[in-house]
Amino acid sequence: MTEPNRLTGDLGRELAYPLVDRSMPITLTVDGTRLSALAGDTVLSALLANGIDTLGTHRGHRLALDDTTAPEIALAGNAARADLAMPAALCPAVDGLDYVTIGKQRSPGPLRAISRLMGGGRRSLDHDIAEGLELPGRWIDEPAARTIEVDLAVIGGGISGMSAALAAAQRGLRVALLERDMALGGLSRLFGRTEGQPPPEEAIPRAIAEVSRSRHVQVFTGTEAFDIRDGTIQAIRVPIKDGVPRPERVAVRAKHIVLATGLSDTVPVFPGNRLPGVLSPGFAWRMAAHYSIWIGQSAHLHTATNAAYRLALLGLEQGKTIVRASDPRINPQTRFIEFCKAYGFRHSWGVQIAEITRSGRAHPTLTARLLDAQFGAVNLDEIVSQCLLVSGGWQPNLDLWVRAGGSARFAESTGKLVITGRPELGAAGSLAGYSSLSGCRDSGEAVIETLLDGTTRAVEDPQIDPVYETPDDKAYISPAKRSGLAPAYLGKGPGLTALHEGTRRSVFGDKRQSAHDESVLLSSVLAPSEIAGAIVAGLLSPSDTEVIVDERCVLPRRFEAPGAGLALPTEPSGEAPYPPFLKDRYGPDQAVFALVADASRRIEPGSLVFANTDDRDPTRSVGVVMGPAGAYGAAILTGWSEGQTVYVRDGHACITAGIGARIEPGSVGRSDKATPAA
Amino acid sequence: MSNPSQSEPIALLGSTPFAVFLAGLLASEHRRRVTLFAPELGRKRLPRTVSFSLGPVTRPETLRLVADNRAHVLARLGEFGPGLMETDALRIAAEAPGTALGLSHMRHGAAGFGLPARPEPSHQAVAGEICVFDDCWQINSSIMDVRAREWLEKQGVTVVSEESRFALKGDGIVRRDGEAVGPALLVDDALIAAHAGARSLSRIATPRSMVTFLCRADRGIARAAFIHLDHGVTVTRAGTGLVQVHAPDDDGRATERVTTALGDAEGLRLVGRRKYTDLVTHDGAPAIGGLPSSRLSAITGLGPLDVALAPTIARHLAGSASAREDEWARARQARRPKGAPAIDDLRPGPAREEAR
Repeated sequence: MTEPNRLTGDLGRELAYPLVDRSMPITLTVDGTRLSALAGDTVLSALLANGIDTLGTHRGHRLALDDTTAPEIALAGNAARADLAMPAALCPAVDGLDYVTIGKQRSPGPLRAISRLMGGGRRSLDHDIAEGLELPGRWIDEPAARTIEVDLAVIGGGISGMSAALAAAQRGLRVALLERDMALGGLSRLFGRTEGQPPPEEAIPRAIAEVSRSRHVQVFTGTEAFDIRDGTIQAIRVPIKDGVPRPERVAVRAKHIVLATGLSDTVPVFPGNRLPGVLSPGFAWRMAAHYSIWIGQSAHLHTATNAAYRLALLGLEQGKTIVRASDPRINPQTRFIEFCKAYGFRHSWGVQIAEITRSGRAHPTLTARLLDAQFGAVNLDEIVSQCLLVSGGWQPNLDLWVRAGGSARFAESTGKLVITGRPELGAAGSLAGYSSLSGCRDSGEAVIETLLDGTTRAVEDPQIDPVYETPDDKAYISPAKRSGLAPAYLGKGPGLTALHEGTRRSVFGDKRQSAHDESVLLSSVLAPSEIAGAIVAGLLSPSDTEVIVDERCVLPRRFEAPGAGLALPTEPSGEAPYPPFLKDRYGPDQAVFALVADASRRIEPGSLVFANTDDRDPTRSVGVVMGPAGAYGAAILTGWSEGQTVYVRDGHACITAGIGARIEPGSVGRSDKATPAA
Repeated sequence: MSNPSQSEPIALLGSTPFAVFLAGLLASEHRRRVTLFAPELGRKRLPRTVSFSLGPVTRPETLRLVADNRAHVLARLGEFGPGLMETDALRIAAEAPGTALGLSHMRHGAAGFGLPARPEPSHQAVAGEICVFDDCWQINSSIMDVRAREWLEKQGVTVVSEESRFALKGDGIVRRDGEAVGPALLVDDALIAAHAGARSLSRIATPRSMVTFLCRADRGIARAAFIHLDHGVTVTRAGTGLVQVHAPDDDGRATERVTTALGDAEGLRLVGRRKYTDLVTHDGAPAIGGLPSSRLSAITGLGPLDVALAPTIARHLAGSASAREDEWARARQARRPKGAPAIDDLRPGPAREEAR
C-alpha cells in the first residue's frame, strides 16, 4: 500500500523533527496486508499512514482506529501467546516482519476481498466488536519479567513530569521517568505560546536535554504504565531485541511515585463521534508531530477549546484544506481564531454537531449536520470533509490515579474531573489541575518538595483573561434525532459505552431514565472520561462521581487460579450436639436414634422422617437423617422410642425404618460407629 | 405487631430491592402511608444484596412461606416490566460435612413443598455436595434500581433520596425536613449498622466486610446462579456475559475466596468492585422488629429470600398476617426472650466471633 496519510515536503518548524526517518522506507505486513512505512513508525502509525483508519464494527457501525482502540498485536505465529502480545501503539514497525492483530475478525466479504486483491485500498482491520474493548491487553495478566528499583518514579514525560524528575534528581534520588509516547514532551507544544509564559518550543527541548544529561534519571519512553499497587508500577514496553520487537513486562518499585499523566481532549456526545475520520486534536497532533501523519486532505474542525485551532493552522501549513471551523461557544475569542480567519476559512460559532454520517468506500467522507447550540434547530448546515477534528474540552488522564486508589469528583462549573484522595501519591501538572506551562512546570518541582519534605507551597498558574481568550467549554450532548445512526459514545473509553438511541436528556434538563441506559453503564469497565460523559448525559449524578469512579474504574484483571485455596471454615466443635440449624428443630426434647432399615437401601443424610407413609409436608416430619452413623443413619426424633417404625422419605422413595438405640447426637457422622447414649 | 389503622404512617429506610418491594407492598396492599428513605436509589451503584426465589434455609416453616408466596411475588415483580427477573437454576454448594448435611436437608425440605430440587450428580469444582434448584428467579438489582422510583410512585410510596433531607434519632421517629414522618423501620444492613447503636446491634448480629465484584464471565460461570455455603460466595447473573460475585472480606481475602469457591474463576475478569458492610445474625435466622435496648425497629438476616418473604413481612407489619405467618415472625423477633426455642439456620460464610 502507499501512504496516503503521510505528510511530504517541508514539514514546517513544529513538525520538523518527527520520530520517523523519511529517508528509510520499510515494509511490513499486518493481517496479511503489506504496508509501506518509515523507520521509527509504530504498527499503529504505519496502519494510519496507509489509510487503515478503522478498527472494525461495533453494533454494526464502523469504529475508528486510534490510540484508544488500537488492538493487541503479535508477530505472526505468536497470536496465542499472551506473553508475546504487544500494544500496537507501542510496538515498533520493523522492516520485513509479519504482524497479526488479536481479536475476533469478520471476513471482509467477497466484493471487498476482490477489491483488495485488485489493489483496492484496505481501510479496516475488520474486527467484530461485540462488547467493549475493556481489556487493555493480555499483558495485564502477565507477571513482570523485570523489576526496576528506584527512589522515585514519575509517570508522564510532559513538562510537569520532567520537572518533577529533574527536581528529584537534583536531590540525588534515583529516578525512573516513564512515558507512553515514544518521545518526551507531552502536549505542551500543541497549546502554543502564551504571553508571559515560557515558549513551549524552547522550554520543552530544554527540559528534554536536561533530563537526557542527568545521570540520576532513567528514561523509559514507549512505556505504558497500566497499574499501581503497593508502591509498584506495572508497565509494558516493546523494545527491539535481535531485530525483533519483544514485549517486556516491567515492574517499577519506588519509594515515591509522581503521576503527571497530563490530559486528553474529550469528545462531545453525538451520534458518530467515534467513526473513522473523527479525531481528537491531541491524538492528531501526536500523529503529525511524531510520525508525519495527517488523516485526509480536508478537515472540519469542531472545537470548544482554543488549542485545537492551532492544529488547524498546522494543517493549513501542510497544504490541507480546512473546510470549516465550528465552535459551540457563543462568539468565542482567541488569537488563534483571528489567525484562522486571516487564512480565510469559514468559522461558525454557537453551533453543535447533531450527527455525523460517513459515506463512500474508496474515499469516504464525513458529513456533519450542525444544530443551533442555544435553540436546538437542526440542519443549520451540512459540512462534508474527510476528517473531523473534534474537541469537547480537556479532561485529566486519571485512569492510573484511580487504579492506584485515588478518586475524582466532577466540577460542574468547568465540566472537569478533579482528583481527590491518595495524598501519598504525588500529582503534578494537568492531572493536578494546572493548565499554564509555568504552572505545570512548577507543580512538578513542588510535588517533590511535598513528597520529600512534607511541605506545600502555592504554585502560580497564570490564566489568560477571559476578555482576551474565551475559556475552553465543557463537552455537550446531542442525542440522536433519528434512527440508524452510529452510536453516540459517552467518551473515548474502552468500554464503548454509548447513549441509547433516541434518549433525550441533559445534565441540566430532562432526566428520564431507561433500563437500557442502566445496562449500558453496567456492562463494562468505565474510563473516567466515560463517567464524565455519563454525567453530562444525565445518566449519573455529579455528586456520585467519587463512588462510581471507585466502583467502576478498575483494571479489568483476571481472577487468578486458586492455587492452594482457602481452607474450609471450621465447623462447630464435637461438643455441639447438633449442627446449629438442627438446634431445637424438633423441640427441646429431641433425641437421636439409630435407624434400622433394609441393608440394601442407602438413606441419604438430610432426608426427612415421617410418622406415616403418605406424609410429605416437611413441617409434619418427626425427624431428619443426620448421617451415616449406626447401620442406616441416625435421626432426630421427639417422643419416639426404640423398636417403633418410622418412614424415611428420600426423594420419591418412602423407606420403612425401625428405630434403634438412642445415641449421642455429637457423634453422628463423625465416625462409623455412633456412641450409644448414656 | 398491633393492628394499625389503614393510614398509619411508616418510614422505611433502605435502598435494596427488598426495601423497595416491601415499601410498595405496604402502600398498595395494606394502605399504609409509606415514605421510603432510599439514599442509594437510582445511583447506579453496584448492588449489596442478592434476591432469589430460594435461598439457603432449612427451617420448613420458612420454606413453606416462600412456597406460599411464590405466585404472589412473581405477579407483583412482573409489574416492574421485562428483564427484572431471570429464571434459571440456582446451584448451592457445601463442602464441610455440617453444611453439606444442611444443604441436603434443605433440598429434601424444598422438594417436600414442591419446589424443584435435585442433587447435581457429578461435579469437579466442589468436593462436597451441590444441589440444583431449578426454575429459580433472581432479581436484576440494576434494573430494579432504574425502575423502582416509577413503580413506587404508582404504589403511592413517597420516595426521598437526599440524605440531607431526613434524620433519625434515638426516639425511632424519622424526620423529613424537620417534620416527623413516622416510626422508622430499618430494612437495609448499611442503614441498620449506621443507626443502631453498637450495643444493641451486637445482641443480634455482627457486621461483616463484604465485596461485590462485577465480572465479565467468559466461560460457563455465567450459566447459573451459585452459592457456596462454606465460603459465603454468591454468584448471580447480571446481564449478557456478566456476573455479580459477592464474597466476605473480613480478612481481605475475598478474591481468594471467590477463586477457591468457584474452582474455575479464571474465566472471570473484573469490571467493577464495591466494598460494603452487611450484617450476619448470630443464629443465621432473620431478626424482625424492635431492636434490643433500642427504640428502633429493623429487619435483617433474610438473606437472598428477602424479596420472596416480603409479602409475609408486609402482612405481619400491617397486622393482617395469617396465624402461621405471625408465629413465624414472632419466633424471629429481634428481641427474642431468653429461653425461646432456637431457630438457627445456615450461616453462609466463614465462621465468626460471636458477640452474643
